[in-house]
Amino acid sequence: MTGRPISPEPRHLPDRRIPSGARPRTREHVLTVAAWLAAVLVVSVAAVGCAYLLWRGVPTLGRALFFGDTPPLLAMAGLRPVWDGIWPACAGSLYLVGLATLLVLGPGVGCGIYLAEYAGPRARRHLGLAVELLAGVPSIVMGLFGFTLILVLRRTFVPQANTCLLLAAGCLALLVLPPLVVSTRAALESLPHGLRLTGAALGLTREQIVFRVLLPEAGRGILGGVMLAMGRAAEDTAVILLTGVVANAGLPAGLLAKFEALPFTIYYTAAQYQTEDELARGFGAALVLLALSGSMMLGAGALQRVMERRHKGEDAWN
Amino acid sequence: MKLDPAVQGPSRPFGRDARTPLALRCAAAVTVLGIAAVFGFVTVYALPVLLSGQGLAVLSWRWLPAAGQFGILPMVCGSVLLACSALLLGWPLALCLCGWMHGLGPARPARGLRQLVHGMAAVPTVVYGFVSVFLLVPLVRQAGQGSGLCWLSAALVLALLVLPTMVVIMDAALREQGRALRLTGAALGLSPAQVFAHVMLPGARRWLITAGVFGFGRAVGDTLIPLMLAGNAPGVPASPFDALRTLTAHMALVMSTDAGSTAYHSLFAAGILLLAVSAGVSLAVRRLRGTGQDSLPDAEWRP
Amino acid sequence: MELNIRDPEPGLRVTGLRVSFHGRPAVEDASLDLPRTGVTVLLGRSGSGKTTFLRALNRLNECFPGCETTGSILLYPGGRGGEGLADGTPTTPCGVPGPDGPCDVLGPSGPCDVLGPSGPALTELRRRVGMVFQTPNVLPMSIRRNLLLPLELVRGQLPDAPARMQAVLTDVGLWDDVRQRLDRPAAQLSGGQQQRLCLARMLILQPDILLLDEPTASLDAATTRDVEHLVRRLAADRPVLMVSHSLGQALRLADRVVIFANGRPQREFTPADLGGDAGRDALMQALL
Repeated sequence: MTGRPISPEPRHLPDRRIPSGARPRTREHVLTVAAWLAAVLVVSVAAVGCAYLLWRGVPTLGRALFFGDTPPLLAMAGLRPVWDGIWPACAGSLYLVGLATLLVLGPGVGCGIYLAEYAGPRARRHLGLAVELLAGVPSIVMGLFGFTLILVLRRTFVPQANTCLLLAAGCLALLVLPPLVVSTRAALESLPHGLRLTGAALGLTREQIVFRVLLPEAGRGILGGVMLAMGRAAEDTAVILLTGVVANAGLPAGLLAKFEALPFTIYYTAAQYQTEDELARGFGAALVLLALSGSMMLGAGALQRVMERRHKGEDAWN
Repeated sequence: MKLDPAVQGPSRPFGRDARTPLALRCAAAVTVLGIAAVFGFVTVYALPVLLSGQGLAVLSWRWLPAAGQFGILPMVCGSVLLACSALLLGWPLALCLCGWMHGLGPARPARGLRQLVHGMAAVPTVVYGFVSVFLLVPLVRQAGQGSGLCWLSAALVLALLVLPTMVVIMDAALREQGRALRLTGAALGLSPAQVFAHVMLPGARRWLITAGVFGFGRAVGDTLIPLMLAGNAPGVPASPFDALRTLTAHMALVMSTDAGSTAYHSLFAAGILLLAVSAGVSLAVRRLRGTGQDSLPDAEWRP
Repeated sequence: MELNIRDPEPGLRVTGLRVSFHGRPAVEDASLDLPRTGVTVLLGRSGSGKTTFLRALNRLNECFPGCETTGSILLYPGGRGGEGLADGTPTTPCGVPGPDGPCDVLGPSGPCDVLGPSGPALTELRRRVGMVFQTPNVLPMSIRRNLLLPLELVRGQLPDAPARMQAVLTDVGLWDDVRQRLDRPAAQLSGGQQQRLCLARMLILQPDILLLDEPTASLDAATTRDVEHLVRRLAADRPVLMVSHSLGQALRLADRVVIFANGRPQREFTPADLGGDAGRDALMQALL
């Protein structure tokens, strides 16, 4: 059967509306104009900023950006210091992020599981509030906390305590703890109710349900949370500003030593650069940090969205 | 083990169970301990400053370390001015972007814009600051007098920085609403723009306010943008082209210049002020979204 | 009892309709004529494409991603068009403000192609083809605004808007329940009241054709009866196309029962067919 009518011929009518009363259309019209302006503004600002960063940053990318004149292998092994490259800052950032992730993984994921699966209503409310309060703490205040910690240590057990890599990583871990808790909890709570009932109906114990059924199912969401935490740890500058970052430390000498870090290098370059070379390195460093932290955060977002879609997909219809 | 039927949520076939694995209890305890330590330490160090005679010295309008005057009120003023102006620029922008994504603009590119906003959230703060120093500041310098490191520059960039946070919150709330209202509105013969302007917007008011409060919290707490762009002169700005100094930037500067132990007092005073503001924001957000929901629609943390 | 897809004087004619989502067809090769008045009930299993078919008629499927619609849907102007009811609000047998006189979108004569490139404006089409959903979907605002906002946005400021509101609320049997609390949130009404409010909200826009997607699915028995009476009265002067899951309801309401399966109308029964036990058996068989 064809899609054409039998009789009579269709009449295409002009797009006319009923002329009745004055239509109050100003509100959506004003809003529409404003929305278009906003969209164009934001897109063009983003495009200009991005293009500028790429224009200045891309030409600097290369071995020289990271290592300067030092042979890369020797530099990476820490045998030769790097004076005119961002490798020490990269290494410092990697140490920092790795250490912070190590510190935050247990408490963050554990607390998320506890909140989602074990806590009673009271514990949920109170612990939830505490995590929210922590989430709101500005990172510079977290840095201040690290600083007071050193003051306390100096006054009590360790008179020679000073700001260092371990302290900075600890403060960063506290800073990124709330997003990890929230992500873990959200990933578990987004799982369908039936999964728990099925597990219980099969006679599994509660631990078996949580650790064998729910956790693997929520894995992507939790991994997303971990990546988000790493991304935020990599980009934060204010915390390390107060907890021991310096401009020239070379590779970190140990957990209790001062260190360099990418975001601080970028900040320091903007304020103190002397030569065009240093400035170009700053742009290169900005690009590297953007790639590092940005890709982690975007990956985290993508993972979490996949997770969401998997269990919510059907709803879209009704 | 006592099973209280009232606490047996629908998602818990086992009800409340006292036998939480030890590891999880430890994790929760460490979290609580960490949170308590942050608030406790900063408070313990700040309280003597505020309560003793130095309190008055800190709460004054003059910051002249050389003359022994350590007033931080100009910085308080700077923080409030900068955050409010950034919000004034950023909130309407976020609202308009959300409108564009929910009916005021074409449907397909809306997805692209949403991705762009997510991408903007993933850009490190320091990169925003760095690019602005070399891109925006010269423009501002030409437009007004002075160095270009001023209130205006910082406010513009800060508005851009808090934009994604607010868009994500508004977008999530609108999307939840939109799913139900889109069909209803269409079936009634309303255009998507009409549904947005007359139905969704009034319905999402609470979330729009929440987004604003949240954005304010982020704007007040940000360190790098004011530190890099606002000029950091400890005074009250008279025009958008004047420099200002925020509490956060002040803390970073005091630490890096090693102004001596008296100056540290102002550090703790600034710290506890910021802590109080952030706690206020968290509580306000919690209040705004009501007790029914456990978290913001979609995680607020998603970049 | 074969499907009589051709009506000499249809109100709406669907020919060769195909609706697919992301390439997967939900409705395929569907043809159906709706008479100018009376209730046509679509019966069929869930997933047979009834709702998609319904949503194709006011092009609501286009709100979903990946939707493709082909075929032809012709809307014929209402029979009242030439009868001089253009002035003011025409009264109809049920006292509801009736269809809007000569329909300038559907045209004074001749059909218009809903899916055609220059068919009616989408929003105007949807006003003309009113729809009520399975679950009540009141707007998140007061009862009064629920009725007046769509009216205002679609029709502009009308001086007699409050009177129209009272008329439709009375007609759906809600006026006495809500006259004291018109400014309360509509979400505070009970499920049945909400669904009747949705009916009223559709009626206040004076649609030419009514599409009802299981409107009584979430209502109790008494309210269901009320809504059914209302549907019968409304069908006196306009076509009503209704999806139902209840055989009893179909038998109570329908002027015509159309069995829907595999994405298209398959068989058709008239009340005369269904009069005896044989007819019912045939219907049951068609359903199974």
